[in-house]
Amino acid sequence: MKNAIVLLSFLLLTAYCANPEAEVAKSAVQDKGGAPLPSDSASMAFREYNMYKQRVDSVLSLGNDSRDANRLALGFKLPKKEVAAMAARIQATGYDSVYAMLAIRYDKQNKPYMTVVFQEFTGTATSPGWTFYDYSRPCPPNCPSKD
Amino acid sequence: MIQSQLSKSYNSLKINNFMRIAPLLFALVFAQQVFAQRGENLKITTATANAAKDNFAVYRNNIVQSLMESRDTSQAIMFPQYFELSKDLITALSAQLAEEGAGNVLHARLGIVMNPTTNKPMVTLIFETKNSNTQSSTYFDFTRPCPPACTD
Repeated sequence: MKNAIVLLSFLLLTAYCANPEAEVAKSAVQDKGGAPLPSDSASMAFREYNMYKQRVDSVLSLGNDSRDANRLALGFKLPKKEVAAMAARIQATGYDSVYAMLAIRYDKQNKPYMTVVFQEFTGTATSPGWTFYDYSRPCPPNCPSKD
Repeated sequence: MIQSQLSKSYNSLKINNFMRIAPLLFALVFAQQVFAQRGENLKITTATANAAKDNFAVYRNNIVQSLMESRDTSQAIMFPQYFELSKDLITALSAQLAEEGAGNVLHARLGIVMNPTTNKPMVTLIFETKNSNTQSSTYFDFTRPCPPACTD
């Protein structure tokens, strides 16, 4: 009996401390949804967007909206543990997707910056609700080349 | 007499057991708190999220308007407000990050691809994972820009 209690406590503790990354990795699906994009296609998409961003910044700099120039981000850096936690949450719910919402927030110096806010469904069918997370770090300055 | 001794022994056993499992119970409660608080400090309120969304909506309209005014209509690509990320995508990304050699961050990079339905360029979000062991990157792009893929 005593051993059983100790064993049960240990199992519960292990379950609570389980790393969500590992749990998700076990149940990972590399099916149609997980097919990676060829790197050539990705590079071309980035190049097209960079050209677009340069064009936008140039037009905004010359016009009346010069304050809006250089606000477009190239991308966002997301911490691994937060992605794993999000994966664990989405596995735990019956909801099929998460929304990445483009947004502009203000830093401590009241300077606007572009970010991506993750919107997760946390309600029920009768009482829909959403929870918002912002854990991205916009690039620039957090670009991949600076890793 | 025997009953009294049995009762004492039983109580003593209960206390001993409790003393043994107390540290484990304490650790369990602590772990639960830590687990529950994961990501809590990164949560933002609905009001903050909506304000941030509205700020971007104004900004993306300004971009298109400025490009149109500069007669650069071919470049006047409207940003989506949302990208819908499927459960499969999130699971695949997380699995990729759990692999040996994966870094501690994931990059979500903006790109422009041709929309196969409309044959017009559209902004998309491409996820990039890097593996330091193989020195390779893997890219995932199966987000669904919203609009039109909005649920409401």
